[in-house]
Amino acid sequence: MRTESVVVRYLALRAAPFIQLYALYVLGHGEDGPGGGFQGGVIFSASFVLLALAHGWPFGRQQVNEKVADILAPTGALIFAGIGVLTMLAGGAFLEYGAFAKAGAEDPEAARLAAQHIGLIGIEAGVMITVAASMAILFFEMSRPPRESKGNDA
Amino acid sequence: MDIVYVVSVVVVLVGMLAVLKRVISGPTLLDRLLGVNVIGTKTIVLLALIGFLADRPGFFLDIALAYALINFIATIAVLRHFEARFRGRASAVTEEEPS
Amino acid sequence: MSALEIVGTVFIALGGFVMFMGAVGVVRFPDFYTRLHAAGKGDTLGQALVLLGLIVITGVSNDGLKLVLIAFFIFILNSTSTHALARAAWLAGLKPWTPADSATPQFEGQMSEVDRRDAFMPLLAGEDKAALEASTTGIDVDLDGKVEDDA
Repeated sequence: MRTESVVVRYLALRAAPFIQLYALYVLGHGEDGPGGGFQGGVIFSASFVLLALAHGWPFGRQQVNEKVADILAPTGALIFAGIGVLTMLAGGAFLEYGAFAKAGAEDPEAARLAAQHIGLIGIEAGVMITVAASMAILFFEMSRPPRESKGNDA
Repeated sequence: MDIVYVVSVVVVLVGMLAVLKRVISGPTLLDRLLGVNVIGTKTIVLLALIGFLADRPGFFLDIALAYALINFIATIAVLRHFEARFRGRASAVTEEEPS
Repeated sequence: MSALEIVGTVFIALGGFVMFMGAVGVVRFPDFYTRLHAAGKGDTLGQALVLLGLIVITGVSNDGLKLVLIAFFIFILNSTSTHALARAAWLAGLKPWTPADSATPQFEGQMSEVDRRDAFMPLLAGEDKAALEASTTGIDVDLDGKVEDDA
C-alpha cells in the first residue's frame, strides 16, 4: 500500500538519490568529520525505508535485490577482515595499516600516513556495505506484509 | 560575533521549550507530531549556530544535514503508521490512546 | 565587525524573530490547522533567514555550500511534511476551527468567545459596544457551552 499523496511520492523518489549520495559523503569523511562506515550505511538504507514508506513495500523490495543484499552483508565483513589479514601478510599486526607503506620510501612518516588513510577508507567501506545491507534486510523482513509471505500475489 | 550566536541559540532554545509545551499537552496526536517536527527543524538551526559558536562549522553542518534528511523520513514514517487508523475517524486523532 | 558580518547579523536576528513567532503561534493558536500554518511558514522562513545570515558571514567556502544545501533541503522537506500532516488531519476528518467554536474552549485556560466579549465589554464605549453586541446577537450559549443559532 502506497501513500495516495502525489507530493510525498514524487519527493521520496527524488530525495532518495540525494540521501544515498550523502551517505557516500559521510563515508568519505569518517576521519575528519562525524561520519564513517556505520553512519553512512544507516543513512544509505534509510533511503530504501523512505522509498518503501512512500511507494509501498513491494516497490521498496524491488530496489534491493534480495540475493545481492544477502551476499553483500557478509562481503563487507569479509572486506574488513581481509584488510586485517592483508596487513598481517605485509608484516604488521592485525589492522596495522602502516605495514602497507613501501619499505624504501623517501619520507617513511608520510608514506605511513598515506597507507593508514587507504586502510581506514577500506575498512569503513566494508563496514558501510555490511551495515547498509543488513539494515535493508532487517527493515524489509520485519515490515513484510502478511499477505506477501504466503506468496498469493505472485 | 560570538554574542550574536549565543543570543540566537538562546532564542531558538526558548522557542523549542515553548513548542515542547504543545508536544506534551497537545490535544490531538497530530499536534504532538507537529511539535516534534518543529523541534526537529529548530534543532538543525541550533546545530548550525553551535557549529559557528564552537568555531568548527563543518563538523556540525554535516550532522545538521543528516538530521534534516532523517527528520523528514521520521515524520513520513509516523504518518504512514497512523494513516490507516486515522482515515475518516477524527476520534482516533482527538481521543487519548487507551493505556 | 565588518559590513558582511553586520548584514549577516541582521539576517540572523530576523530569522530568530520569525522562528520565535512561529513557536508562539504553535502554542497559542486554537486548532491544528492554524498551528500547522504557524509552524510550517514560520519555521521554514526562519531557518532560511538564519542560514542565509550564516552564509553571508561564511562567504564562498565548503561550509557555505553545506549551509545552502541544508537551507534548500529544509525548504523542500519541511513543506512536504507540512503537506503530509495537513493531509492526514483532513482525511481523518478533523474539522477546521471557526470563530463559533471558541465558545467551547479547546484547552484549559482558553477564553471562550463569550467570556472574551464580557471581559472586554466594559472597556468599550458607545458605538463600539453597540457594534459588538450587534455582531454577537443571534448566538446563544447554553450551560453546556454549545452554540445554538437562534436565527
